[in-house]
Amino acid sequence: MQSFGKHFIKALLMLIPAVALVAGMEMYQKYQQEQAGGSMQLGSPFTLQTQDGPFTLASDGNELNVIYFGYTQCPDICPTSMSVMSAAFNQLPTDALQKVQGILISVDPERDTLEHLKTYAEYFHPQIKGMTDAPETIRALSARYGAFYQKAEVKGSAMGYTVDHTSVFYLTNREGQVLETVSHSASPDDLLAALKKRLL
Amino acid sequence: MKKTLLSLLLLVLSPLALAQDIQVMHPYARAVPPGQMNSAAFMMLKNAASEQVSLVKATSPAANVVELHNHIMDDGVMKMRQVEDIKVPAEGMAELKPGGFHVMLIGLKQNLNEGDQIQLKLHFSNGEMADLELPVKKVQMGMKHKH
Repeated sequence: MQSFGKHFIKALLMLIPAVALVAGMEMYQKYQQEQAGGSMQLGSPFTLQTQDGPFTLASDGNELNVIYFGYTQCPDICPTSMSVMSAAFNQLPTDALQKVQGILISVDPERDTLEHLKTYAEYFHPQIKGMTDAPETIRALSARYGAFYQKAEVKGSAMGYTVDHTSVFYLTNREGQVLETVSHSASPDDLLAALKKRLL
Repeated sequence: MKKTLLSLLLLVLSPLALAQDIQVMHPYARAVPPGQMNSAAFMMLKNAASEQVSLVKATSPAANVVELHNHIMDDGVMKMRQVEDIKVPAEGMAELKPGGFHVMLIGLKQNLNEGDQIQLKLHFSNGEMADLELPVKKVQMGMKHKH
């Protein structure tokens, strides 16, 4: 009987570090969440290159900016997203549209020339600017926005490589702080609703 | 003589009588900005056969290479992958549309402007082929008018 009590206490003592560990992890997680929701703001101002010279979000940006990370050789998802942006813009009243800047940031600077980026972006809407910069600059910037992309070799395909990427619209203010994100959709409704909420 | 005539008539009519199992509906190619290297073609494939039929190959004089591709959404990341075939279920349909299965046109030999026409040939697993004249259309999202 005495040995049972001893073992019981031993077991209890052994539990303490485990409980402490779990509690500590939970507290850390909560702390991290608070950081992400509060001071850890997604987005940032930036200066990137366009065919018409450098573009700085903080000074050249509009009251509301819609940023999309993509690339022009992207056969389907990016043109779909660009069409979505264009359709949403076209359904805004003129005065609201003037307060918005569409931004396509190429995550494939090795293949996308500034000239082609300009043609490509403006093809969808005159209010969209195409821009990019050195690969490491784009990589660092995308991380600040929570965007993700990676090259993927397509075996046996003439494409060479494609770029897997998140397909998200980032709505930012003039300072490049992300106010809202709109996930990929083949319909402009979600983006339009988000734009209207901010502008009308 | 009568028999010969009849068989001749049958021979002439047989391609018409043997209706194709696969019907291609609303095919179109995506209009792209000038200088763009790639585009895609979309359509609806309808299979009247009681067995699954697959689209196995496509060719077009408008592009250097034509491949069959699909998109998969993996944890929020869009991935495009080449596929061997696009299956059309028995007595069913397969939709090739933006964001999903598509016929990928790689290395365009011409600009694809809205209103243009391009040729596309489809090969199916049951030996059928379809010669198509595709209209080039700007993919407009959420527009009210339907074509």
